[in-house]
Amino acid sequence: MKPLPPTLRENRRYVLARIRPSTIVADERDWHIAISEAVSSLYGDITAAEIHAGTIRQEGAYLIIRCKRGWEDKLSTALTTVRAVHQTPVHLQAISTSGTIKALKKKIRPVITGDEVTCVINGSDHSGIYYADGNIDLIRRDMKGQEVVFLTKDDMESFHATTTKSDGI
Amino acid sequence: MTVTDVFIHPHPRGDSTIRRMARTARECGFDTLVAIDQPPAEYNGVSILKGIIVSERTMKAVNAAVRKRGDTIVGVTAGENSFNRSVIQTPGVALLTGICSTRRNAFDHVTARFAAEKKVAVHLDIGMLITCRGHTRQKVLTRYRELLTLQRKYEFPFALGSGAYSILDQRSVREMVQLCGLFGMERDETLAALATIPDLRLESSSPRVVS
Repeated sequence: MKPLPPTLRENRRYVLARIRPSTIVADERDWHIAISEAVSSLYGDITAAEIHAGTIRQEGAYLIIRCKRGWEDKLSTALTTVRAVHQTPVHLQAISTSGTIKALKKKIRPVITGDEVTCVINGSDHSGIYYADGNIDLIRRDMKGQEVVFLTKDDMESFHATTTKSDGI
Repeated sequence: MTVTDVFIHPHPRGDSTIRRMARTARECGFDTLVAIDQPPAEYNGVSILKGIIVSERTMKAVNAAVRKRGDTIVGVTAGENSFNRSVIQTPGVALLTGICSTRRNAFDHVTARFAAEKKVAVHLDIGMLITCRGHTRQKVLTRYRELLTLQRKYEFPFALGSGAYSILDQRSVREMVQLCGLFGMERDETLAALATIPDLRLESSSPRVVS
């Protein structure tokens, strides 16, 4: 099939969104489903079709999402209502909008990497990630499943973290 | 200008500590947080104010909370119309919250005029727009739109909050503006609502003369 000439093609805008927490594991299809659900839930199917949102690519802790020109504000608003991917809590924060993917790529900052740590709080083992900026994401596992606790290095005293099995804390 | 996120729920209610939430708030453009059951403090340049929400819909509980308040920002969960009017006229009450869960006539034009006179803010939980779906979110949007109409006429203060239990629930100022735009609130109105808390504190701490 012959492609449409450029003048007849749909004009598009691209939105750069930051993913929090950066450690979440999900592919572009998962993001597409979560975003589509958020858009159609907020604006309805007719407006969702107008917005024509699509996930283009994931680069580290950032996501590039495509939409029709003129609908980028509505897409950004819908992105703030995305709460979970695969039932894992997440926050998508729209950072910037552009007409080209190349311009958005320049705004992508390197992700702050963390070291895996294990510590003992009130007699029970916790694993987690200790980031260079002092933030700690602790993962608490029990019979009900796993739960993440977000804290900082300074909070470890109030959590009575008695032993650490890794450096850093 | 102060930018305040009213009524967040740090650990142990939520999954994030107050220090971590303060860091996130800073990144999101806030400089003040009103946190439930947390002592006043300052972390990463973000002021933490202690807040409580009185959920029992009785004047006895409201009066008890007001007597013990100190520096605490007292919010009261809205109930029936008569209860809301009594709450608004109680000195020391800063905020009326949870109006979206009440009946339509629970906050009418008379209550709005009282709120404007007494400088009691109406708290809008923006987190409800994120967490709710379908009919519930439609109801919240409708109620907030009605409140906005009353606010534009009677000019009582609004206070905005994310109602966050986690750092993943916290939203930036820009996102707050976008979410408030869903029920027709303009950017300037949103920014004014985010800056309400210092005025409320001045108002509630002013001496009252009894003649």
